[in-house]
Amino acid sequence: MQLLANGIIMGAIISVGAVGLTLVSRILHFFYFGYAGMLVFGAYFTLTFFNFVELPLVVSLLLSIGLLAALAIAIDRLTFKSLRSRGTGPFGMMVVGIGLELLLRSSVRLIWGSDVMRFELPIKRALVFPFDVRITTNQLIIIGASLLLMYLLHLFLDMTKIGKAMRATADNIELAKVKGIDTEKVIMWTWGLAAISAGAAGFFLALDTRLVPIMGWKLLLPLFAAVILGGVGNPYGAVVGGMVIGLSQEISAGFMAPSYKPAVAFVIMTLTLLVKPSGLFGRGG
Amino acid sequence: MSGPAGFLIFFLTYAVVYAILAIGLNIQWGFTGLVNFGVAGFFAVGAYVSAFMSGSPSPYHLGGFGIPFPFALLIAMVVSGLFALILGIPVIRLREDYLAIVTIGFAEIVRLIIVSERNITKGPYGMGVIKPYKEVISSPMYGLFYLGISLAILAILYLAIARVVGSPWGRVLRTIREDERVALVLGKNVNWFKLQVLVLGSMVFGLGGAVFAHFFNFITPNHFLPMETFLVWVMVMAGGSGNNLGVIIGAVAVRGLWEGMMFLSDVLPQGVQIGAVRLGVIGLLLILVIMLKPEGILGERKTASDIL
Repeated sequence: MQLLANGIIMGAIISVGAVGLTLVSRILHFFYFGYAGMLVFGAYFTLTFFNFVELPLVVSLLLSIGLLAALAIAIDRLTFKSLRSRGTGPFGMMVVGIGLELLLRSSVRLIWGSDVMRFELPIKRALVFPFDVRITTNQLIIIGASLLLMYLLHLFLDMTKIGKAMRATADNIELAKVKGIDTEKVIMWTWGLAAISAGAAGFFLALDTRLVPIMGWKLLLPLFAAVILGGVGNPYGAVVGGMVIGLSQEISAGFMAPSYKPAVAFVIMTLTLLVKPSGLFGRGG
Repeated sequence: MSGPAGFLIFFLTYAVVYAILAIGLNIQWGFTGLVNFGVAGFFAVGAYVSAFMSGSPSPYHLGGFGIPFPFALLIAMVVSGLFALILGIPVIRLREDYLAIVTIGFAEIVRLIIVSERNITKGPYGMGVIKPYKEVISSPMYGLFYLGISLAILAILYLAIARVVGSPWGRVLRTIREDERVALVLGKNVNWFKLQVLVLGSMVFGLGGAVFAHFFNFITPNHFLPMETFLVWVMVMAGGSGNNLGVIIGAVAVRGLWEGMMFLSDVLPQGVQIGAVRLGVIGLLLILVIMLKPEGILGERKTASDIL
């Protein structure tokens, strides 16, 4: 039962992060490794506002997400925008994304150092639930906040004009262009949404564990696994995919060495690609 | 040998290891357009297999089987190739961006296994690897001797690959790179050729791993981080995909840059970590190559006559 609870917490973190990654992957048409860097920057920004400027936690997170969105859009202007206009393919974009991941991780190490950091929160005893399941208050906050966040994202994608344009672009870029959707504007909004998703996931992960510069890279494989399992470009699929990956990773720890958790994500991802590349909810091959 | 000469020998041997890896990736990416982000994984397999094969028996890790050095290298290549075959059979038909994620995942799993299976690999503690022929060569000259062995291996590899890519088989590879459909129309089984290339290139990575292990004499999972893969990619893309001489120059230049950054520690303010600077510089190089010079510094030599 404890493993199940751990799985739900990990699943919530992966789900939140996968929503942004799946939209970026689809709308920008490549797998963005620099997303790991965004996650780490989000966590460290929040930590800086909270630990050093001593702002309330929620304010810190919101400020961090704003900064992250500005950073992501600035990076897009400097690199991907000119590559898009030159017609660089997904492979070239992906290599630039890997370069950005290394550059961002290096910046984190130079700015904040490589030592482990933590949110300076009072340590509370874990709450004991039936079946001797132990969950900390932080973990309850993570689950609650991710549910709220996913609901807000759902409202945004479902109700607002730009949200609908994003889903239309994710569904069929050519058709969206023909229908007069300003794809550059959609791309800017996608980066903004990715900042919310990556910033929140990075923060949740840091709250549940601790901050190290490599934390984003370590979550990247499970995130891609969730994105692919849910079908690239499908935010609802990404949520389900994230939950499945989180649960299977943690439950596997019951009968395998816990260090093999990423291997579980890898196997699920590869099997999805081989059996049904369009993911759980994709239409056809 | 110590001092500047010793360092030069160390640097050159290290560069030869990476030149071998770069040629392996050049077969896959440069000539065939096959994406493999799992270089570090095959590199690790080669290093560990050669270490198991050549060492003397130990209760703390697998082997050693005391097999002579040249055969240990061959076995390392074969096992690396087998890993590539097992990975490749299901995934070779995937689109290149999916293949990138799957291969990077594969390399991370290989490293996880090395870290976790302590009874086989001694895990994060790392394991010692023998110096081949150390009883024949006196210790002051040993570094130079091993550099000679590595250079000879590189030379043989270079000539062998030049023959292979010049053959009709090699021409099919370039056709696949330029346009898979053309190769299909010509009746070539594209996936079968790609699988052969994945295996061949990965055998070369395994060879590189074995040469590295016997040069460094001590291997840990940290020698095979994803960073190694990206280093080799920078070497190939900057040196000029499809040009073996170019990627060797790329390997020496990038290794030079990597070691050269060590001297930055005198200039940089206190507390700035060289590791972090290196990470950023390699990242920047990857970005710049794609944005400024996608064809690399040397580019590929046209195979038709220069006059045409």
